[in-house]
Amino acid sequence: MTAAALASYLLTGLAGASSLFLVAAGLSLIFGVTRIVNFAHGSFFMLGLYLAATLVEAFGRTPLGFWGGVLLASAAVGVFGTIVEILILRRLYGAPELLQLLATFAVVLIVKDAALWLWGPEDVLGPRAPGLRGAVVIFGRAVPEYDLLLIALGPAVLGALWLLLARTRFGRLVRAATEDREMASALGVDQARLFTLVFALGSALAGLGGALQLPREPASLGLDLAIVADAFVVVVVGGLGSLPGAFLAALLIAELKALCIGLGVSKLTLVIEFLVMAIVLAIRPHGLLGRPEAAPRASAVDADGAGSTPPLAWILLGAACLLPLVLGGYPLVLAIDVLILALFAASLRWLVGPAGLVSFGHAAFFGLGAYAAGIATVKLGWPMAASLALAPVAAGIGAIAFSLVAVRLSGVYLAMLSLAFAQIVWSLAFQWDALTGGSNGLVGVWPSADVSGKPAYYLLTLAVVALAWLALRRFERGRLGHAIRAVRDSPLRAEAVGLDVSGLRRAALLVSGALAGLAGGLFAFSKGSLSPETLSIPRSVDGLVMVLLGGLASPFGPILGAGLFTWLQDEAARRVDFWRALVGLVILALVFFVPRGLAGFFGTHRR
Amino acid sequence: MKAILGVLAATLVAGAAAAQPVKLGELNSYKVFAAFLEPYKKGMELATGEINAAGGILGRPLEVVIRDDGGTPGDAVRVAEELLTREGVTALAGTFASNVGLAVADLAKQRKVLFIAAEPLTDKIVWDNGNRYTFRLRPSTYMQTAMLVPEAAKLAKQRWAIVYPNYEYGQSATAAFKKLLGERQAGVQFIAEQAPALGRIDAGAVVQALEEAKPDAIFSSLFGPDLAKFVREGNLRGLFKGRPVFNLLGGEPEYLDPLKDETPEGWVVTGYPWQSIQTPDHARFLAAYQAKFNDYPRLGSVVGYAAIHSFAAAAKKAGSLDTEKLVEAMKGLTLPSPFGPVTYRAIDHQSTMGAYVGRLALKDGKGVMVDWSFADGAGFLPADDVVLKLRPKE
Amino acid sequence: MTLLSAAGLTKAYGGVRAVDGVDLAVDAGQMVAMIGPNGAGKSTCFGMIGGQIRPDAGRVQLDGVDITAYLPKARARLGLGRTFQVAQVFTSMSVGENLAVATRGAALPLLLDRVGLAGAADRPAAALAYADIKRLELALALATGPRLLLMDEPTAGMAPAERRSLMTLIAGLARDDGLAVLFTEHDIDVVFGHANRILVLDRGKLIAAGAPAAIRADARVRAVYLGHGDGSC
Repeated sequence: MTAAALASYLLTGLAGASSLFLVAAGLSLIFGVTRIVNFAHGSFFMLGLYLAATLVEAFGRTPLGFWGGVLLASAAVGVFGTIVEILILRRLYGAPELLQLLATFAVVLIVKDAALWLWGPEDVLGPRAPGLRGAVVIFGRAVPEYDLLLIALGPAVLGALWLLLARTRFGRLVRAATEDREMASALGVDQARLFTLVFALGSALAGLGGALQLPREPASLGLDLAIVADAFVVVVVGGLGSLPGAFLAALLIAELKALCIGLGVSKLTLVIEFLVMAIVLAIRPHGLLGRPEAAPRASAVDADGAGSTPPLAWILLGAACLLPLVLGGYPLVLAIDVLILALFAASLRWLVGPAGLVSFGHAAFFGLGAYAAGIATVKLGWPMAASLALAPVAAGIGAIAFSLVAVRLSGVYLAMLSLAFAQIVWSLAFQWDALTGGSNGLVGVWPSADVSGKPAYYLLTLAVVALAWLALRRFERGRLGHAIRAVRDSPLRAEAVGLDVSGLRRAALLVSGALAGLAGGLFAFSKGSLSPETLSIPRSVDGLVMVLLGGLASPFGPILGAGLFTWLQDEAARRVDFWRALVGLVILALVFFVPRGLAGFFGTHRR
Repeated sequence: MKAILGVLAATLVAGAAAAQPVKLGELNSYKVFAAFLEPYKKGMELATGEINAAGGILGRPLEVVIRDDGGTPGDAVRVAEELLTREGVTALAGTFASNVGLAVADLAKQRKVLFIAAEPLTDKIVWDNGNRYTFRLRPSTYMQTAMLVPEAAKLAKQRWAIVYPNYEYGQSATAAFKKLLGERQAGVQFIAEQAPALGRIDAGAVVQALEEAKPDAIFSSLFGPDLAKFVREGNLRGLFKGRPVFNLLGGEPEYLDPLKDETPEGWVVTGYPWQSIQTPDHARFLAAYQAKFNDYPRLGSVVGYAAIHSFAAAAKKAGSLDTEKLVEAMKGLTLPSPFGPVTYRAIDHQSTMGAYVGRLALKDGKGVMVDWSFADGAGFLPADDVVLKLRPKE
Repeated sequence: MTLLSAAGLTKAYGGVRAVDGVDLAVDAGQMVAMIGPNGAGKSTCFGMIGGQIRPDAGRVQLDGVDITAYLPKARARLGLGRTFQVAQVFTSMSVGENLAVATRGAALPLLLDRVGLAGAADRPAAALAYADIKRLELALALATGPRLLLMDEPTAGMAPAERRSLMTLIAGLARDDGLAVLFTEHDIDVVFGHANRILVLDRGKLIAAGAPAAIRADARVRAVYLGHGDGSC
């Protein structure tokens, strides 16, 4: 590569970096002040782009029409964000962080369907910026004028935000709240108002980021999750709440991407940002410019559902054994799904609840198990029992590998590292055609003849899941389980009484990963096929949704959560056109009215 | 009043005679690939109406039970099970993404039920992973690539650059293009390859990298948002100046229409020039579609329409709804379609549905295909002995 | 017999020396208090002895073993127990479960009885009053059978009567079991009422060490720390 070519790639990377920074800045600001991990940030970006496309068409393609449309779109998204904050998030600031996350995820679902309803399914390609339609020659290569504008705009927005934070009263309050919430509230800051303002500003920035992409990409319905993943990575790599950090991270990632493409290894762009995140977090556990997080808010002190397994559980298990006698066909298929997802959710609940290790990438272990079983069956010709046994082993090995870096982290950083790990495993499965079948995945992973009928496979699944669930419960209540919970409650105290904190976290991950892998193995055989989707972000999110719907406090939560989630998705998808929005509304209702999850709900009523 | 009563009576009689509809289970990723599948759904609706107006299937009305498969193989298999067990459908149809299509195809094999894979383009569904119960309607990645190759070979360009979305479709298109063009044109070189992640193209850098390679011509299999971004950046940075570009699927209204006035003129594409096809088959379809929906058809409309008619034709030919008889009927089944007659080949269960190959042009600020010709799918498949080797023995 | 000794302990944060070359020693059966104004470096000193903070320079020895590089868990196994400024217990568990996690063979009822929590084994830790949480924390520190007890502000947040009873309890442990106790404390009455020796830190440096009477008389200590001239001590 010549020097001019290199410089030119770096220039292209700069434009990408500005775009990334614009969308990440709002997320960083919101997180810094409210500590909310806002999944809906990508949706705000998407709305900004759609709105800008509509407004600019309406105003006409004049400079005034274009820039007026862009700014108005940004403002409109700011207003929308404010509404979301006031109607939804304001009621959740005292709630556990995961519940807030769930609520913002519900917003994602609702916005996606609203956009489909408003703008239809076809991509909307907006006009180019008037006056900036051409290209100029730099380093002997054509560079779009609009890129140059973006390159200037990123640092300009960073500077404007810096001024806002450094020079205004609002900025001082924001900084105070970012650094020390208690102190800020002690200083008499009206928190509710501050949070609303910050959320409005953050969403307007997301909207602006989207609107400014108008000349560069069409508005499409898949943007939300793609963008929010990028923005998360930038914010975490930069260090949570640090705007200069976010800028640096955007620069690093965008330039690396441009270089990957320039060097002809474009396939690496699939995963480069997650590789960067994993490496940065391994070296600097709080991101490039981040500071150690204040101790995370004490996780809700959940009783662990101590006491013996209630007789109800045994009765239910007995009833479940008899299910095939009364239910045939499809309900049995659903029941198998519920059982498998219940095990997946139980393994995640154990990790997030008693072990206190939040994971956004639990699908990694589920998928590792599924792939191990699938590869053993299809490629190696192993018998089913051996393949199924391999699933938890492979996932367990994955969990150990993950834990080598992960035990040093906690809170959001750990969650994001788990996301990076899952994406890296996903990209391996996606690219390694010879072993994994690439994007198509593997087909022909059917169970052996003796359990190929639905009732037989159901009973097998029931037996495996029930045993695994009981084993997990025993483990949780046993000496090791208590020690792991002790580490969650107080790592300081745990160390001081001689517990091996890292070792116990590793054990917690191993148990959780292995059980998720077992669920993945059962899944592969129940579907007969698997693809990289078993490792994907949506599957991890589904797991969290199930856990939270069911409630963290009780080991029964995951079973209820998986049941409700499966039923909801199945029924809603069949009966309602805009089923995603419906699922989102149901999640919101549960967050508000049953915040401790179904198990907690039933629990209180029993007492 | 009399008329109304008459209609009412007729409806009642018809209702009594047709107590039991024939159910076809259709599953697709309606939410994930909405741009293609909304028109597809309309196409199915049109066909269903036509079939029922003509007396239904074996004297019974056809009911297409439509489900969203969520876009993932796992959910798709569950939805297919639901269609089979709860709805009791006679056969399955649909699917869009390759991985979903393959998963449902394998389920069809396991459960011994007919599956008409309408959309998925993957070559594997009829070849490497082909099975007795699965038939595919659309011309595959291989076929559509093969349709572009003669045009590409005519140019006698030596240095080609390739850009494709990094997943099975793009990978197979690239592999097929390199193989087929290499066979026809000695000494052709493929000097640069860019494989951005699907939906995530970094268009500026990709265009720049292609430009740096100074190719004589470009082959792309991008579509959707990736294509729009690529076109914009390429135009801005002058990548397409003096370089022929071939783009698989680029003429499909689903992907062409959003480009509006920025449609890159002169690109050679496969697609569907609905405005200018004059055959009676198509004229009839177009008129009926526009009358019913007050909208023009996209390619998805044609595929959905032909998929439903395929099932009806198979049932008619079989004279039965028995799966094994339906499968035998599907082998070699010929039916009319808006693109002319289509035959499901007995040898590999691939239909001979064709596609239109032409050049993109701008007309009234919109993209259209011009100078097009119809490529019959039958002419763009490998020789039978090659196909037999690819396909596992039954 | 010297149980704990530290030499030249130093820790800097961003150029500011929080602790600067501190030497100290604690004998078995002795209660040693570390005092000094806010920011004098007491907590950092404790962190380095407890293993939560890695010193930039200096050595820590426990019963003749150099533990400078040891992790907290290893120090615990060698007989170092500690309590924290903000009491650290396992809040999601009952009192009995708390101790079951920490204990190595120590009899549970005896332990509870000793810290004044007899009969509370089944109570959830989250439901305890703060003074009882402090007691539970002490029980947790004792559960590993330590020879050295580090206590960072053991009576903070307690009522005066509770302070006295807790310190009497700790003094008993030192006297009867030969435990070495190193503690920091803001309450001067507690310090002079219970410590055998007192270490005085100021701006990271040890400025005085000795018996309470000697410290009381030390002019430098009076100047930087007690120097209100009110003659209260």
